[in-house]
Amino acid sequence: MLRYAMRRIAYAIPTLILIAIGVFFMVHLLPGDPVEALVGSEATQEDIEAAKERLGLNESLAVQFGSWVSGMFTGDMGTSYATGRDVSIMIGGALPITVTLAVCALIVCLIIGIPGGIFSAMNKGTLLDKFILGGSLVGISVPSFVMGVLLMLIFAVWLKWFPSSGYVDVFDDPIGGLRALTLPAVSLGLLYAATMARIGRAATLEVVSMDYVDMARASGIPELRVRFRYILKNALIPIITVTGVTFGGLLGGAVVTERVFNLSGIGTLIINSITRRDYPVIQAAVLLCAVIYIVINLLVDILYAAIDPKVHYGDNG
Amino acid sequence: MAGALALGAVGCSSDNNGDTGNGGAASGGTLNVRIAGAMISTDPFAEIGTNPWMLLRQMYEGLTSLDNNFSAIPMLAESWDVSDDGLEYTFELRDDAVFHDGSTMDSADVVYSLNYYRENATRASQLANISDVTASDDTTVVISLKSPQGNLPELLGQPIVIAIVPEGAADNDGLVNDPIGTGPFKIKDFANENRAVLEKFDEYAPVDVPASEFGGHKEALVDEVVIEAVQEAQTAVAGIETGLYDVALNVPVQDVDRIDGFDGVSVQSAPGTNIHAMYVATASPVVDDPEVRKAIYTAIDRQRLLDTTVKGYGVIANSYAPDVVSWFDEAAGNYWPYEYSVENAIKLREASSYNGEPIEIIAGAPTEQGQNATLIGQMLEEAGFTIDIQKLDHATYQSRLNAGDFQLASTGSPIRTPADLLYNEWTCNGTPKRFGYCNEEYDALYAEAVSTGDADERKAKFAQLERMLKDDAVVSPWYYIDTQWAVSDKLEGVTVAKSNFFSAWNISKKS
Repeated sequence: MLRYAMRRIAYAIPTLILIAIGVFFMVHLLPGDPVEALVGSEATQEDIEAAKERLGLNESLAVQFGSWVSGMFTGDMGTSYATGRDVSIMIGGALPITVTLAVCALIVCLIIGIPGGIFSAMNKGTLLDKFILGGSLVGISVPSFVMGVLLMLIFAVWLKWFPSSGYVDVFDDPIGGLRALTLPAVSLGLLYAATMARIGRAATLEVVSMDYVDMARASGIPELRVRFRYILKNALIPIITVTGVTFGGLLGGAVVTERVFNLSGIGTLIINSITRRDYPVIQAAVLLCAVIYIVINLLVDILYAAIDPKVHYGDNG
Repeated sequence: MAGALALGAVGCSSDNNGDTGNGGAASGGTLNVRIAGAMISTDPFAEIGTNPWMLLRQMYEGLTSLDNNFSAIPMLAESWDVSDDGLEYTFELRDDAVFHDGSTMDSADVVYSLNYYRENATRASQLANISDVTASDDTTVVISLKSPQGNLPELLGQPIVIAIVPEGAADNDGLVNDPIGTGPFKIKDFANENRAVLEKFDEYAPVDVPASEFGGHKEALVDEVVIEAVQEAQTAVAGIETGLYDVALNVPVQDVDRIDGFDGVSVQSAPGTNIHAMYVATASPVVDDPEVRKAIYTAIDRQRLLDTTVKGYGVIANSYAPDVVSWFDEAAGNYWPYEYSVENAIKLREASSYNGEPIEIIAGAPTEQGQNATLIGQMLEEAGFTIDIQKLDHATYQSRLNAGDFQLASTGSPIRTPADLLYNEWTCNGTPKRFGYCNEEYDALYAEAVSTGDADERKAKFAQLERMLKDDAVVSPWYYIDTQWAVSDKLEGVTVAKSNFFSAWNISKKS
């Protein structure tokens, strides 16, 4: 297992290098100049040239790339063109917001999606099954920003149960923080809950049809034990895999929810930086998201092996 | 040529917060403000955008500020004098201005700040005419100029202030992480560019000058100010309705009536100085012919633009200079020779060199710019032009503007003041690539206007420049937008600024 993990980490390095090269050159190929976005339309040519000199944008692309990469190896993500702040500080301020939102949304997703899928499968063909399937279809079809605006209208504006927007640090004010995150987490989580319910239903149906389940029942094992130990435990294996991928998707897909609920997370940071062509921030944030995604997938694979004894990552794993 | 402006000898405006410029009683509490875009940074030398300056102007001040007619008034300087040849300004500083770090402002700080601006600021070229800045003593600063500049006090006090900071404070981007100004509020928290928390600066000493929307007498009557950038309009409206914000700027025009109906909130407005207009790159193909440009202007129904895009909340603009500025000339400012007429536009087009080539209109990110571009396109097509509209993101739009890589551009901008900055844009050395307009007669007249110390003579010369730009069909102003803010009934002392620059001072909040 350790050897497998080390091998996966080693494979990740060239992946990250390719991503670094790709994102660097893609942002530099974008039309529009970071300096001119910075200095505005009333700037003189002298102002523009002075800004380019100050930001090192007079250097060749190769020199700029080399400076950036060498900085990344020493933990220096560079300085934002727009804010003048260390990129690491900017990302350090934004990432926890997105992670907290993603975790809350994942909890919503799991609480609604897993039981929904399992109950649907256990009651296949009944009204409950049809209701859950219909609900999941609606959840998948409604865009998260529409859901967000609807939830805001009903629960914040009309009922005044939750704040309409904004972020409160859950570590400073747990109650206030959770209240502020409820609507964004639900609007983001419902979309993935719908997908999770369908996957959970499919996984459960597959397990229920297995011979060992019939054997367990025939052996006189209590039904509750059959459901939990034989059905649920095995149905969870693909669900865990999907959960890991879902968390990665939540991190990236939170940008629309962040915009609707005015959360200054990593998605908002990336969008604002793209608008301003703030290259150091875009490059560092995208690379960081790639690292997080790779780590999550590795952890999911390891967990998968831990749960399913049939899975063994040998020399060829 | 000599003049002195003593502290207190300034005319009042009817928009002041009281005749003496005093604020009300301190109320304490927290003032929650919504603005439309990110504040980005706390460095006053780097930031030039309207949204960052919503935050920065609460913390930083300059030697001068502006009254409601955009004329200079004392701020950190209590008076100034100019030499007979107009090449030297002597500023006498206040001795009671304190920085947020507790140090007292003196001439060394002013010398440092102005020199830092000249060497490092994003808009350093604005002070290009300064040859030297020296201190005569602790409270006297002398600014030497390369050529006379009658509007220097107005330039130093423009809405985007040339800030005075402690000596050395800006070195190594120091103000990014540790902003230190002299304003009535100081930074408490700025964790990200979308949310700032300010706290009252107890050592702030107000000046005895009537308050204006830019400066004058300021008092921090609340304990804290929270400024939040909310880009999504409907999120902002929900926040207004649920009482998240005490003041919300940039109320969406389609929601004005609805917001005005919310409990405890009213929409307050003032005639604005933000303009929607069209830039014309006079060196670009097709539009380099003045007759083509005249045909284009005649085809534009500005009232329709105003009524459609901003629901009529504004007034037609005949000049880039709004009529509230002290240097606005009635005759030149109101002169507009291209009255809307489709019939006349067609005749002008047929008499011009236009041969059916597509004319491109570019528009940037703001929704109104895009809407105006679409409407203009329709109007010009009615007059027989072939139009291609390109809606671009902010950075691409800016790049193409600055490179002059466009023919027509739908734009919106805040006021450019003083007049030097506005009319400089059409000089040969101003933004030559953008407008492509280079007229020696214009440049000579501009140099005369800028150098004179006589305000009336300056006004007359800028008026001539104004007419020249219009007769040459170089400018195309459309309308000024009303400034509209949603204001909580709990607040007292709010005066809607024509410039849309919000001031947290002199505002109290009922509990």
